[in-house]
Amino acid sequence: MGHMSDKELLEMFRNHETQSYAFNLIVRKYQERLYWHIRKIIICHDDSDDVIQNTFLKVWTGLENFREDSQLFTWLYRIATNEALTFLKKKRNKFFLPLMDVEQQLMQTLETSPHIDGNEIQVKLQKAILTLPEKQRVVFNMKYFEELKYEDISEILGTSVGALKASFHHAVKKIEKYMETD
Amino acid sequence: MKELEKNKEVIGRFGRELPFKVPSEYFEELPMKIQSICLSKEKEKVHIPFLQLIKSQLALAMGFIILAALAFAGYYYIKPPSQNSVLTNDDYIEIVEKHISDFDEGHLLNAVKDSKDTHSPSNDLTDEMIRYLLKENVDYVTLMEQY
Repeated sequence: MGHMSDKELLEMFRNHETQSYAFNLIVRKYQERLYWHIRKIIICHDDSDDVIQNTFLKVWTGLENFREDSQLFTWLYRIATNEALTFLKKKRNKFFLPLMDVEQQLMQTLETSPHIDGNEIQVKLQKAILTLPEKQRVVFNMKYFEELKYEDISEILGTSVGALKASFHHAVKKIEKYMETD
Repeated sequence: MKELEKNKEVIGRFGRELPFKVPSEYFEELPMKIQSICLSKEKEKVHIPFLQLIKSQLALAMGFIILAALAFAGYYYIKPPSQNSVLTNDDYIEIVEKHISDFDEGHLLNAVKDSKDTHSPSNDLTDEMIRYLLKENVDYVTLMEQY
């Protein structure tokens, strides 16, 4: 069942008798990719867990109306990205935090969370990424870690390929500069 | 291409490894957790009574109806009584009697004359009859005596 294509899974989902099973297969197929995508934005595991659950809840309610104008995985990524960014926005509004303070909190999480387990360079790279503007951070993560095509990122974020290339280039420069400092 | 090479260089230097970890068996348990959340939401969705769904719309509609009823009642309560009653001849006589000093005689005579001059279907008929009798040279008095 692990080899089923998205098209087959969607057909299975549209059949009422196999809907739950098909959804379970979709979750199993994409949960890790989406979790790590969310985790790179949210940093904290517990918050990422909440966001991934909300993401799949939205997928469950919206999948019936999914018309296959886009690929399933870009649609899933779009929901996950929106959920993660909305989570950060709510966090800012809830505590009346200025823009930088949430990022400061995330940096603290990188240092203190029990679910962080990496070497110094890996943690420093994550801190460098946290200095980037929100959208640039998402673009950098998708290109650098997930190696997504610009065309797919463009579909997910609704930004032109040219703008994404420029954004990634600026992000790399900033990160290099940050990594060079002690 | 130069930029691409440079990016590859950066990746080579810092690697793609993430410093994050998850609790053990997290991804084994996650699908079950998600499935149960989705199914419980589905049940909640099914059990919402129709009245509960349209409660807010219903309240809004009721508000409008009450407001309209109040406006309607208020309008007829405040409206002066002269606007919704029709004056009869007796009322006019009473008014003239009460305020006789406000009317001058000439004015009243003119008003009586004007009222006689008003065009009515019976006046038209009389005129037509007179015209006919004159045209046919019929003496109306003799005619009446004969019958």
